Amino acid sequence: MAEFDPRFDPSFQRGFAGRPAQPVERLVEIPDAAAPVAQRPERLVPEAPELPLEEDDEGISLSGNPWVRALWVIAGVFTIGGLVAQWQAQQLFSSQNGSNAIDYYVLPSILSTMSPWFTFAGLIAGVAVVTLHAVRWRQP
Amino acid sequence: MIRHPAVLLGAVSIAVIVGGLSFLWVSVNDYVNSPYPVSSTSGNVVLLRNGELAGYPPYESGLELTVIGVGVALAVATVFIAAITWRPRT
Repeated sequence: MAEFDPRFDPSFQRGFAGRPAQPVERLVEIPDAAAPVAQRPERLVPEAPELPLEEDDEGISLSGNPWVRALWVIAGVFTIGGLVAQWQAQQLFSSQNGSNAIDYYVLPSILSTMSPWFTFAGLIAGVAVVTLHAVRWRQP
Repeated sequence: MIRHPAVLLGAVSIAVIVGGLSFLWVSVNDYVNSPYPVSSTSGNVVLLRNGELAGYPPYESGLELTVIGVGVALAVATVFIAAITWRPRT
C-alpha cells in the first residue's frame, strides 16, 4: 500500500486508488456578509480634551496681550529717552559749568554711554512689536 | 519647579542690571572719593568736593555700563518672548 504524504491530500498523490479524501478536521466559519455586525463600543479611546484650535492655529495672540502693550511702551520710552539722554549729555559736555565731579564728568559720561543702548533697545522693541502685528495681519 | 523661560530670562536680566548698577555705584564712589591735589601743571579740572577744591581727571566708565546695557537688552528680549508666548486665560 502506497504511503501518502500526510501533508497533502492523497487524491493528488501517486498511488491513490479512489479512496475518499481525508475529512477536514476543522472548518473555518466564514461570516455572512449580510449578517448584522456586532455592536461596536461607543468609543475605543479615551475622549481627548477640547483644545483651543483657534489659538493654536493663529499662533500669537495679540488681542488683550499685556506684553505687546509693554513692548509699545518700551519702544516709545526707550527710543525717546535715549535720544533725550544723548542730547542732555551733549549739553552737559558743551556747557561744562558744573561745580562738582558728578555734574562735570560722571553724569555726561554715563548719559553718553548709556543713550545708544536705550535708543537701540527701543528701536528693537519697536521693530519686534511691528513684526508681531505684521505676522498676524490678514488682508480684510 | 519648572519655570517659564521668559521668567528665567527676566530674572537673569534683572540680576545683570542690578549687578551693573552696583558696579557703577562702586566705580563712581571710587572716582569721586579719589581726587588729585590741585595743581596748575597736572591738567586736571579743579572742582569742588565737600566745599574744598580738588583736581579730577575725566571720568572713564568701564565695563559696568556695558553690563547695564546688556541687562536692558535682555529685559527687552524677555518682554518680547512673553508677548509671543502669552495666551488668554480661558
